[in-house]
Amino acid sequence: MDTAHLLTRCRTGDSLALEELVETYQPLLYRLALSVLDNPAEAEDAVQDGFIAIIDSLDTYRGEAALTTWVYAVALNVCRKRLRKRIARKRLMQTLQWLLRLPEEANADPEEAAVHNEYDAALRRAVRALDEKHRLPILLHYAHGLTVIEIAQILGIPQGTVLSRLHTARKRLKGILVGKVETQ
Amino acid sequence: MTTPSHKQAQRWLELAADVGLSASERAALDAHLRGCAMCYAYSAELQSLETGLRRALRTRLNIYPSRSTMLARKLHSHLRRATFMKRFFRTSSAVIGLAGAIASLAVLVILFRELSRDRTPLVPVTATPTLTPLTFHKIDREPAPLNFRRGAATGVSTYDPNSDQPWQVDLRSYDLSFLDLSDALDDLMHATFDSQTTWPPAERMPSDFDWQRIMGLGKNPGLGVHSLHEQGFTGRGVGLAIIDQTLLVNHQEYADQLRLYEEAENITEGWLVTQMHGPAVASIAVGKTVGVAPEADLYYIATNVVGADNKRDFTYVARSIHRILEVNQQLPAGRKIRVISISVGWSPEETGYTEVTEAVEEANAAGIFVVSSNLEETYNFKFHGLGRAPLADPDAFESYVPGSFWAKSYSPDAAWLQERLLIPMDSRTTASPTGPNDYVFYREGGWSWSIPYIAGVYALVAQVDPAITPDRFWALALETSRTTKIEYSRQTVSFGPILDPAALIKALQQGH
Repeated sequence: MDTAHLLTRCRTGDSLALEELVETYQPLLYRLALSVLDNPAEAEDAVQDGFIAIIDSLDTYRGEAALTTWVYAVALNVCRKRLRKRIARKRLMQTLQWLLRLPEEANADPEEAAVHNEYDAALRRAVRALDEKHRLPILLHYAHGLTVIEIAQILGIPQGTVLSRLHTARKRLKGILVGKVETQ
Repeated sequence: MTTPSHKQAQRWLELAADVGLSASERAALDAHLRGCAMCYAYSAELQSLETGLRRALRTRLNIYPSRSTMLARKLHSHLRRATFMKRFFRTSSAVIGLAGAIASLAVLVILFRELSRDRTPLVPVTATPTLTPLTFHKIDREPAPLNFRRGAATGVSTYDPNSDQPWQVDLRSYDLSFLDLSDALDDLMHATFDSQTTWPPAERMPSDFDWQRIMGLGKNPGLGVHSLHEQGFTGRGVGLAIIDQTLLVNHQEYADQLRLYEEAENITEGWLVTQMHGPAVASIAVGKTVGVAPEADLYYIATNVVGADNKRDFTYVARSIHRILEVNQQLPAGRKIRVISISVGWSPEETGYTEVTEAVEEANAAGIFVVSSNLEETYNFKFHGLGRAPLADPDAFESYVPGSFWAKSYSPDAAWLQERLLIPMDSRTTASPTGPNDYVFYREGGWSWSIPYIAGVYALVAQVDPAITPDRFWALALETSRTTKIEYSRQTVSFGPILDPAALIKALQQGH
């Protein structure tokens, strides 16, 4: 089924079309959400929110970018909102911990145990340490294999800015990694 | 080949990683790297970082598979909820805003219907008292109104009765206010004009020309259809689909009845703005004041039949029929689409002929009557369009004459006219493409205006008898038709058969 036909049927609430939409894009969106949010459970929720956002804004898709790029852009916005909420929540928790002397939240992420490559782990920590502006182009480029043009469309920024952010991010990653090695 | 600096070489290395280099840049970079240990190390470091990033980030994504289930079902529920809420809020705000007016109107309508029932014997026999709920609402785009940009006219064309040229006096959207039209009565009686036409003051107009009255009479679908509406025969609960050009979706005539507006892929540049045809056919079929079936549900797909090579292509019409069949499957039993109106015809030598012919057969098999210019070919039903003088009463059968475009070829003995059901066509006021409250009076029409009329009557009939079939409808329409007298070559001759909607419905009620 071609994209336009699929979207048209989704807009009418055609359940078969919705199944097809989910089947096609769920793996992509989940990987996107997981890479950005770095938390499998939260990524699952974000995928659901992302699909709802996609369904709600189907009428705004004008075919100017590829559907996949547009789907990425909508879902990425959902992830960014979650990130902002997470930052606000973290700040609140830090304040409460200071006021009430609460124990720090244990890291429930089992990832570290599953991955044995120390360099890769250090690299991922370095990526996490980047600010959102520089982290997203890195994730989209290296984790999802998107081109600079696609990243520009998804983030709504010029291609030159994407290039500049990738350059800066790599420079910072090198710096972070060198610092890690030196302190280890 | 210029040798790059270290800075340039490192910049190229970054670019090579992100977007690639031209062949000459690549060659210059390779040459530089072969002779520069510092840049070579930079390259190796960058490559190592990139490989590490791909591996580290992608590995992580692969070790946590998604466990989401039932997502499609959740989305479906969300979509249904969202559609319901959208409709609910839209309806609520409209109700709150117009509560007073609606209440008063409702009282008047009830009183009027009660009084009408006392005077007339017809009562819907099978119309359901409460409608099956329908939450279907999907408007893909709102095409912009058409602006003719005509400005001030320097004069009015003279009507030539011997010319075959249609619309000789086209005054739509012209500013005529500077003209003196006192002596132009004959021309004006053949004029097509719209709400945007600016007329001269009364002293510079012929005293016998009342454009408001002409426009008002043209709004009446005629043949007693308004009296059927007063009795509750309005096409309520019946779905009527139209495939035509782009539509002004918010026109007051049909906006409330429009359940679906979609555009085929070939609605591209040049076809995006509202075309004159769409609002006309939609309002003739389901318009609340000018239409035949003002309470039928309208499903509309915009397309055009002119291909990129300027030749006609009916592939998209065929696809649109299929789409309507698909939509129909999603509709509840009490609100199905029963008729499709397509104001165009197709020939065997044209692209898409086979596809559209097969699509009509599929629609027919699905219980949907497809009314088109090919009605004779697809169903063996023959029809023709009626003419009417602009000030003649549309409800009086005696007002009708042969339509403008074929009046010259009319002969009471013509074999081709026998058993050809005659349907209103000329002197119709319809929704105008120029604005949501605008109207246009078409002094001359074509089959394009008769086709949605037939579709509208079918919707009325399907409201009365949901088991109606095209064959039974047509046979009964001919059987109950009316024949009048007209003047021809200084003789009075019989003229017909003219469709008689009230007689048709009465016959259905009586079990014919």
